[in-house]
Formats: sequence, C-alpha cells, structure tokens
Amino acid sequence: MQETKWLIAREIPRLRRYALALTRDPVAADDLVQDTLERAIRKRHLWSRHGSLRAWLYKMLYHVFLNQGPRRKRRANEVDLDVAPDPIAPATADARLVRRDIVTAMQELPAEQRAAIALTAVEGLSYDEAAAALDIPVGTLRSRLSRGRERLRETFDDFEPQLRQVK
Amino acid sequence: MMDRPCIDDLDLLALADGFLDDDPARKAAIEAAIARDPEAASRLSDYRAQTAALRTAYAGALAAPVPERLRAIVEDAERTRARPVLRRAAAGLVVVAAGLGGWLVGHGEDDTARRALLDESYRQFVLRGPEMALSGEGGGAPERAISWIDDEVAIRLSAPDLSSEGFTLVGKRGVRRSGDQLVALEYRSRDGRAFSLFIAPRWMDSPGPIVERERAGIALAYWHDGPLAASIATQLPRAEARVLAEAVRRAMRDDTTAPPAGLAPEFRPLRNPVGDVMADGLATIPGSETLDAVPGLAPTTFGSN
Repeated sequence: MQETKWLIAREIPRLRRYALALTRDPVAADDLVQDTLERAIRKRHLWSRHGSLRAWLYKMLYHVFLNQGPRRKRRANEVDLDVAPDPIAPATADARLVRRDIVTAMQELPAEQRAAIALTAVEGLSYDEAAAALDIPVGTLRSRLSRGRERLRETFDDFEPQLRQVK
Repeated sequence: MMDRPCIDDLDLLALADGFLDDDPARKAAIEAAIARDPEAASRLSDYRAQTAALRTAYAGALAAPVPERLRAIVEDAERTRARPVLRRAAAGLVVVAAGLGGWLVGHGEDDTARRALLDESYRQFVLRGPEMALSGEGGGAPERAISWIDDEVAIRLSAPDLSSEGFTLVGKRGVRRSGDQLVALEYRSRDGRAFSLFIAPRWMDSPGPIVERERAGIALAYWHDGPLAASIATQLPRAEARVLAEAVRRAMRDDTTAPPAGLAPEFRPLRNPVGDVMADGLATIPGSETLDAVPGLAPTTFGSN
C-alpha cells in the first residue's frame, strides 16, 4: 500500500491543475483536491491496478466537484481572480493577460464542457480516457468538446483586440 | 480522382491537441485538406491558440510546491486510514478465537491471531487434511494465483512452489468462518508425506519467528510475514515439520507476486463477490465446505505460550 500512496502523491500536482481548471479559485481547487485525496485514500483498495491511477483520480475529483457542498461551490463562485492568489508562476505581463483571458473564458463555460476541455487540452488525456474519467460515452465527450471549444473560440477571440492593443 | 478527407471540428481539435501524432497518414491528409480550406485553417489556428493558452495558463500548478495539508493526507494515511481496513482482517481472527471458547485474555493481537489460526488449522487438518484432498495433481498449478476474497478486499498471492522439497499442491480451498477467511492448501509428496498450509490475512510490520506446537500427534507451526499469517499442520515428525515450515516461509517470501515485506497487501476491487466462493474457484473443489457446514468438532485450544 506504500506503493499506492506513493503513486497517489505523485498525482497531486496534476490534480491541482485539473481542480484549478474546474474551480478557477486556487483555494477552492486545493479544497477539492483535499477532498479527493481523502476519498482516494479511503477507497484506494478499489483502484484496479489494471487501469490508470491518474484517470481514476481524475474521475474521483470530478465526482467530488459535482457533489461538493454548496458552501464550497459558493466560495468558488465568489472568488475574484483579481484578489485570489495567483495560481501561476510569475510570467511576463503579456503572458499574464493571455492567461487571464483564457481562464475567464473557461469559467464562462458549463462545468461539463470545462471538464472535457481541461482533461483533453490541458491534461492530455485521450478522448477515450477523458470520457471514462467523466463517466460519459465518447460521443458525448466529443459533443461537449466541440461545443465548448466553439464557445471558447468565440469568447477567447473577443480578447484578441485587447491583446493586440496591449502589445 | 483526388482523395479529399472530410474534415470536421473533431479532426481539427484532435490535430490541435496532438492526438493525431500517432497517425501520421491521417494527420498529413487532414493537414493537406486544411491547406485548401481557409475556414478550416482559421479554426485550427484558433484551437491551437486555445490549447497553447490553456496549457500556459495552468502550467504553474504543476510547478508549484504541494501544500503540506495535501501531502499530509497521503503521508498520514497509514496511521489514519489504512489500518482500520487492514485491522479488520486481524480482528476477524480475534472474533473467531473468542467464538471458540473465549480463552484469550490479554496476550495482544498477535497472540490472539496466532492461536486462532493454529486452532483453526488443527481443526481443518483433522477434518480434511491432505489425505482427504484430491488425489493426483489436479488441485491447481502452483503458479496459479489465489484470489483471496472478502466482501471488500482481495489479496492475490501464488501458492508456494515446494517442488524443491518434493511436494506438490494437490488441493486448495477457501474456508469462511464467522466472517473470517482462510485459504487451505494441501501438499503431498511422492513418498506419501503430506501437510496442510493455512494462510490468513493480518497486519503487522515485522516478520515473526516460527512458533511450533504439537497436539494429538499433529505438528503445527505458525509464522507471520508482512500482510500474511501462515501455519502448517502435518503428521510428520516435529523436526521435519520445522524444516518444512522454514521451506514454506522461504518459498512464500520468494514469491515475486507477493507484496514486499512490510507493505500492505495489494487490494483489488471485487466485481462479483459471490458468497463464500473464492475468485479462482477454490470453493468448487469437492469437500470445500466450511467448518460451519461440518458436524461439530469441539474446539480445543492450545495452552498459553
């Protein structure tokens, strides 16, 4: 079981990244990861070694996210990115602006589209893996991705002129 | 005639996210088609920009140090989470022991588990030892894994290969009693020597010595190692039983499928737990009914150590 714990510990950074994409707020993201880890540790005997531990944890985190209490959800919604701790390593002013733009655009998506995009574009899961992590058929994942990306394309594009002005 | 692949949004997304890198033919065909389609090229460019921006935006989370409160959940799990689950196995033995006469008083969990396993080993050996196991070698190949089923956990291990000692596995079965479980393995040699090996789950970090007992002409030996407790019962002379126990313990340690000493067992989900049936069909071996179904054999306990 030491080995399983070690494997779970290795996944914490990725879980934090996924949680951040879902919640936007670093504190809420870490709360979500904490709940996920506690659950994973309790349930670790249920993890099948034939499957990917990472995918199993992603799946658990998403379930926790969907089922988390209203208090945490409210807090996540109330946090303003401008006053929240910066989840990202220091970067140039331009890069920071791009980051906020895409992060804001992501947060305007429905959660299920956000999760689909985060798992594929950010976490690098294949469509099959992402569908399994979200407990949905691959066709549904593709549909969510398509709609989410299109919407993201519209909202993210809106910031383009602003970017150019900054530059 | 030109082969112009039909391009949809998902092709563009797959290309943008790098999912076509393993399919260079398809990737090249789509890229060629995109080159002839400005609208598709524009979409692809946007998707790629999205992907790049997303990865940049969330990259910091990977590099950031993991907060102590998150690390502690995993690191403290041994004390706060795992043991209650694992203790259940050992606690099961305590329950069995108490049910067998309530003769255990304050000798600690391990004494309790040892006595219970030795007692149950004796009972099982008397009821259906190697002489009653299947004849021949049809009981299962030594390399065949045993799945140890509880309602919540399964421990996988291989039957120890004792061919170097001249013994062949001739029978194996599961025993469930009062919620506790044992795996009973019957070994026999060509010259008629026989013994039974009983294995039970447990949780102690350190291996223990071989403890010997003898009762009514039956030699018993117990030891524990990592997540398993084991005992053998045989009518062979005690000295020979001791050598045999050491050989079995060595064989179990050498088993590469067993977890490293000091680590908890590997747990697997049970997809179809069915009553008393062992996952590899142990219970299908004739005569594998549990003691509960056997006419009573008055439990007799061993004296205190």
